[in-house]
Amino acid sequence: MDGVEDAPTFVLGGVRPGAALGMSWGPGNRIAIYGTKYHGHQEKDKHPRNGNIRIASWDRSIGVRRKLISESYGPFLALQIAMRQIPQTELRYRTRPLVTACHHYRTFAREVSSSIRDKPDDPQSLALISAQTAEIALHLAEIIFLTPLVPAAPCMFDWLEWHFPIDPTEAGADFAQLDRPESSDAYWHLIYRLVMRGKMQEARRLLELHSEGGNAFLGVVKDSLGGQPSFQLFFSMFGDWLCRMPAVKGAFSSPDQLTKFKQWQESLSEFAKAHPEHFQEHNELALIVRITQGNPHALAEVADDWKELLVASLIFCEPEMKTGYMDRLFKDCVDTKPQSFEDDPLGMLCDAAFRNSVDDFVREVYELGDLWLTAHLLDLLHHRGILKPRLLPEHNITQRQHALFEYAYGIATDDVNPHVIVEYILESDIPNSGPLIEQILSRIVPLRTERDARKMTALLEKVNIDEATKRRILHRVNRITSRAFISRGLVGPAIAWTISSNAGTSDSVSQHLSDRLLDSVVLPLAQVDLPHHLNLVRVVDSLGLNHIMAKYVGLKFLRLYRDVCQRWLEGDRVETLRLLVEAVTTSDTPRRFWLVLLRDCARLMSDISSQTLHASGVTSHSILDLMRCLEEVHQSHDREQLLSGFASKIAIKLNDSDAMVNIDVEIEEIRRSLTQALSYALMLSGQTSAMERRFV
Amino acid sequence: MHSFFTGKNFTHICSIPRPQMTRDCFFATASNKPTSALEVWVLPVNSLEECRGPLLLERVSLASVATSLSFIPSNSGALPDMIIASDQAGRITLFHVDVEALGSGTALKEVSSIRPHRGAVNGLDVNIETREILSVGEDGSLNLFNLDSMKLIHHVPRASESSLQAAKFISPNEIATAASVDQICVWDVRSGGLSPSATLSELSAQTSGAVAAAPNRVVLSLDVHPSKPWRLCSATSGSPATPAAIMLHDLRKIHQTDSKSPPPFFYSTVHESHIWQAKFHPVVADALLSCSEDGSLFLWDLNALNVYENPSATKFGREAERVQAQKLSSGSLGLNAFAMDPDKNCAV
Repeated sequence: MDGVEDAPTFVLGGVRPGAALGMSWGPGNRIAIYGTKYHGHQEKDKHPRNGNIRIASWDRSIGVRRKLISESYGPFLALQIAMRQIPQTELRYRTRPLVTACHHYRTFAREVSSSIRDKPDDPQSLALISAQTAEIALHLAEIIFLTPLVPAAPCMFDWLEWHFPIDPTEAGADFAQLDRPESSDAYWHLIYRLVMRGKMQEARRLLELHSEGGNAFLGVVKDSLGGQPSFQLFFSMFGDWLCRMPAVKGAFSSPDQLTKFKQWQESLSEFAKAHPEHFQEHNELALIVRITQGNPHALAEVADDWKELLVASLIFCEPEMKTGYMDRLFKDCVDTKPQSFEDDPLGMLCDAAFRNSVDDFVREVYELGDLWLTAHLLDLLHHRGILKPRLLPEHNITQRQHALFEYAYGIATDDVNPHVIVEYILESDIPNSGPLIEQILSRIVPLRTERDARKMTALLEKVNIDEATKRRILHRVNRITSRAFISRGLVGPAIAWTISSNAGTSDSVSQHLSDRLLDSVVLPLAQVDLPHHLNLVRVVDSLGLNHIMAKYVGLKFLRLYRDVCQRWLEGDRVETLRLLVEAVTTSDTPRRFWLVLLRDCARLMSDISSQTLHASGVTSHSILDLMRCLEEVHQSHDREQLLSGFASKIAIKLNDSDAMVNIDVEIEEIRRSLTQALSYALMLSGQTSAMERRFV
Repeated sequence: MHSFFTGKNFTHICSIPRPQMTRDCFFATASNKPTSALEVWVLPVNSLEECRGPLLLERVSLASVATSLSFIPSNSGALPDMIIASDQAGRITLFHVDVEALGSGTALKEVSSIRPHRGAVNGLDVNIETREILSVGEDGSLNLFNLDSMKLIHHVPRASESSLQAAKFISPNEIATAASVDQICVWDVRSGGLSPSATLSELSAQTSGAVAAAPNRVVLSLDVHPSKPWRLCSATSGSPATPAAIMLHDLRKIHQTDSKSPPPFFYSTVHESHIWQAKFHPVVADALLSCSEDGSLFLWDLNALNVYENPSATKFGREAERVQAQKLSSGSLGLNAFAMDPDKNCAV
């Protein structure tokens, strides 16, 4: 089969051999492909077993698309803000931002077209056509719907020149090569078209290419021009008359300009009447004069299509016509050039626009299937106040809401800034958009780093979504970030993000993480003697928990112990001892830290004088509490567990009998130091009888 | 100020100085959307008037999203120009750049790659004089490499119990790092220790008097004044309780005080969201630029702060209020990074 290429094949991972494949279109450039394996051999016995779903995506000129989406976001947002600020009654002031936004959109669409056109190898012709169509439709909507009361001729002249230009340069160069260009039909046809479009300068340049001729006409010209020999001169002179036409852009903006235009038409007519024989001899020139006089037959004769006819009619016949009242003229032009209208792919769109039928126009825009165009165009029409706010029956939302939502959902891929997507959904004002935003963000926002998480939270702070949704999304972000930290063994930030994910409340996970933090990070550092606790202070400070340590039970002890170390480093032994005693006796302290803390207390008490002990506010009752803790550890049934932290300090194992002896020695030393401190405390307070009782 | 949309999302950007060749502005970007890539662009100077966008000259795909870029110029000519890139997978990759061949498709060549971090590399700095690379990452580790051999010189596995967000050479022997907590650490490389030599902490409380329960600011970017290396600039994250701040610290004071961190001698909360990058102008004295998630790029004129250098000055507080911040741009989308071309005095 010559000319038929093999169908492209690809291997889809994860789909079982023999599975039935199915697919479903997803948002943006995604497609879901699923395979289902059936049991049973007979058709009637078959029942589905398990299915696998794979998401595939394809490159769809993403760079260009992202550019368009990113660029149009700014003007879109600016328009929404402007429309909220300007009252609906101030139509005059509302028009300007609408037109500005439309200009921006058109420019972006044009940039897309040109960037695709610059790469002719890329198979993106569909995208090119779509961008060009979008530009044409936006321009038409701007002329007819956004500014309906301005002179139509210059607007439509712009529209035609912008989207369907003719460039006489190349053709002119070709004609210049010919000896007698005037003998070519194409030469005259091009001149007619330029005149029809009011491009008189270009028309004159072509007329000047006319050869010297050598026919009888030359002699007549010589006579009429006072003996001047050049045949070209007459054409040049005629060209000059043409060029005296006021420029189309701005020619009809005021009555004075309009008068000047009419005077030019009359003067050209007079010129033709003054030299009837010349024009009779040269029918082409006569036809040009008839075109400039707005002769409908002449216009119909030379117009290529209905668009050219419409613009020429506006310029030469109806220069006073306003943009919103072109329906009759448009109908006449279409009737005159029906074939060109039928061949025009945008014919129906133009028909709806010129008939001023917003509903039909919107329907045609929908037909184009360009989500970007539909959303932005309907938004413009909505703000102009001409889009009917009726609800779509199947969705119960308005057309604008539907278009903006469709667009936002369509661009919801991971290559588009999530901020843009959220803003479009929010601006669509569709009810109950929160869960939808949540769904989209959870799918497309990568949370690979802490920065990603911060970006996401910043986005949520900026956008105006309901609190419940915001909380849910934040919960998810915090949870994912917390897990990432756990996987890297950074428990401190994991706790902070976990607590944040629970709206600032501590749960079992954060409790578990707090325990893990104390065991894996703090306990090993606490096992060295107090003079070496600089490292502990630094580590605790770098956990990122300063703002929550005072609030949560699992972390209160950590804060207290950090303060103990800090005071020690500052040389404040009095305060160190006071805090240490508080750390042991407070209910938040995990029991496995008791022995470490008691050891520090005992050493500190043995080093300091009785005055210092008194100054620290440590009373005999406090020391008795410490001793009670020590006895509790020593005699507790879970002694091994309580001693585990302490045991590792001296690098021993609990099942080693020698090690237990060492621990017992250490406990005995602590007990002795505490007893000594107690005696000091009792003496200082005068409670000797109590001391005696104790020793008894 | 001109805006050009390229259809890509840039995570980082660096300038490529080529003064001898052309007036145009060359720069390299790291993009993560639509795909991860390292790209070299040219922005023709005359295109600023014509509003034409930058042109893509070179592109190399990357396996992971690049988080930071640095351009290393060839000083002697013996070594080629280089771009060093770090990424979210914890890799640091060195590319040779043949500036003469830009546009040919072969100007960027990967020469070596190492993976010293578990998780993203958040901060990267290069000391061209000592030919050393400094990197810090999401895993809280700090690494110092030799640029030519890519051999590890110094490694601190737990420089912080949180992720490290930024790092900067203060001098050949001193490094500043910022963890995702409220502190900046200064490290003395000569000591080879695993602990910082000094710490600037409780920055939030010192500047805004933030209550203890408010979430702390996180320092996201660090930079050192090009001619006054004792001036360290930090840019932080922001929240409704503690707005994002630009701070200037005097590093001479951190060794003078005993335990309390000296407060920053200047801070401002002009930005409305996280400040992703702050950088001193490499040539213009006392000019600082900062960009933020709120889409703004500010130019700070810090000339008024020079009175601070005079010990007898007593009106410093009032002078600090005179520091002018000029908004160069404001957009609806956040700014991730910027680069300055010192020759053209142009921020990209």
